Amino acid sequence: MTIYLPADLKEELAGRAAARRMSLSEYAVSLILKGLYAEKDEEAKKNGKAKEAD
Amino acid sequence: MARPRKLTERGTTVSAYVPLSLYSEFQRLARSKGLTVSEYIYRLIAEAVQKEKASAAVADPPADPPEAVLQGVLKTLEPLDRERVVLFMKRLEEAEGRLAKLSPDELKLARSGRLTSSEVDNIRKTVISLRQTYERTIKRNVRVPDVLDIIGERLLELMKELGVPV
Repeated sequence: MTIYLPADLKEELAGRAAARRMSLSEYAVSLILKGLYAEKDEEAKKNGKAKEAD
Repeated sequence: MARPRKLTERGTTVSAYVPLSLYSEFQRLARSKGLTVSEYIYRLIAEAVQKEKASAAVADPPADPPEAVLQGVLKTLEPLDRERVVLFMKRLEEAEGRLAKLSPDELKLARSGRLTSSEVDNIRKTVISLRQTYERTIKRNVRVPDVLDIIGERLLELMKELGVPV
C-alpha cells in the first residue's frame, strides 16, 4: 500500500517516528491501525445501541 | 509527456505492507464514508496524530516539564554519571542556542542537509560529536530511561533541524 503524506504531516510523523526509534512507514501503519480500531469500536458501540433500542 | 501531478502540494509517499484482508477493510470503510482509500487513510493518520497530541497534553501537565524531570533524576545518578550528563547538556544547549540564531532561510537549507555557512557546518559538527558522545558514553553509562529519553529527544530534534541523518 502506498500512503501519500503532505510535506508538513511527513515532517511531523518523521520526528515522532524517530523519537520512537521506528521507521516512517512502521509509525504510519501503527497510526492507521489505531484509527481503524478506534473506528471499529465506535461502529460496534453504535451497533450495540441500535440493537438495544430494537 | 509526464502526467500532471494529482496532488499539487509537494509531499512524500511511503510504502507499507498490509495484509490484503486489512486493505479490503480499508476499502469497505472508505466506500461506506464516500471517500477514496487514500483520503480515508490520510484522515485516519491526521486524527491519530491529533489524538496523540491531545493525550500527551493531558498526560504531561505543564507542572512537570522535562527539565524538572531531568533535574529530579540527575540527583539520583552517581557523581561521575551526573557530571557526564551535565556537561553533555551544556554542549547541547549551546548548540541549540547557536541554531536559534540562524536566519529562517539558513535553517530551511540546513534542514535539507545543504551546507549554507561555516556556522551551520560548525553546529552540524558539534551535533555529530554530541551524537557520538551520546551513543558511546551517555547511553552506556547512564542507564536511566527517563534521562536518556529527555536527552535523546532533544538531540534528535537538533539532528532533524540540521539535516543530520538519524
